[in-house]
Amino acid sequence: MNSADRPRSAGVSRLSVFLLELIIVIAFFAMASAVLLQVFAKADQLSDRAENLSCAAAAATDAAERQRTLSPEEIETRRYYYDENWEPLTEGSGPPSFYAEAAPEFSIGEAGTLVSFTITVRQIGESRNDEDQIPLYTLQTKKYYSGKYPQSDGTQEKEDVQ
Amino acid sequence: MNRKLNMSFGTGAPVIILIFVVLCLTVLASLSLMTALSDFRLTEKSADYTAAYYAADSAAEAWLAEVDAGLSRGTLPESVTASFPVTDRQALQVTISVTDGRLRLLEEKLTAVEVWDYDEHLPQFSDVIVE
Repeated sequence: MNSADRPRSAGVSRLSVFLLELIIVIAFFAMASAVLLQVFAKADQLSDRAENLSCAAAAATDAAERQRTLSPEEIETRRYYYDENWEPLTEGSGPPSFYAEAAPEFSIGEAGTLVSFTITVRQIGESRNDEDQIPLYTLQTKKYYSGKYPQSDGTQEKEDVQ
Repeated sequence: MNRKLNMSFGTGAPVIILIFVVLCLTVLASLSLMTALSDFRLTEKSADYTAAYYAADSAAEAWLAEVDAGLSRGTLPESVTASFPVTDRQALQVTISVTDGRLRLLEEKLTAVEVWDYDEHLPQFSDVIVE
């Protein structure tokens, strides 16, 4: 080896070791980032699920209370629509992202009618098909009316309990 | 005087920086995942409590139906107060009154199942405050 080439050779060797280390570091960082990004994505997904569940429970409670305050003649299957931020929608105000459906079931007893409501909150998928709806929360509630409903002639036998 | 300032990374410096960055990211990712998970569990508990409350309320409405059916047959209810469990510690208490063969819902409230026992815990200090 020529003595004049020695410093240059050592410099090249040092640079190549540094570059090799940098490549290994970048590769390891890429692998670690891939794993950590998945953890961040999972946290984001969980946070979204928590928000949707919380708002779905609130929407179900709201639908239940609305149904329970109706007079028995007005009770029917109703849907309450919400946008992507869980803001209530009026008819034709925008595409809904969620809805709460309250389905009543009348059970006529000896002296009155026990109405069972099944409130289901669903998320509407992008395809907007009935199959593409994700159930978020279901609530069961009952309300007793002192009188027999629904009646064919629309009359009421007795007054309500409350 | 021709001095050259050498400012280059030594071998091993990128590894140290990498370890520091990955460690920071790992801590942040773990913390955000733990926060999201605890938030989700709390929301689930809240949603379960709502369902439990409405289940107790449904049981109360069914009891009202039963009492009203009894009244229509001329049978007075055994008690004008009924309690329906919501959780292990809470119950929905319903009070009715029966007047002229008709029932009236007087009160519907959440009550604690266990009454706090003041004698259970010993006093933490023996000073006499008021004589």
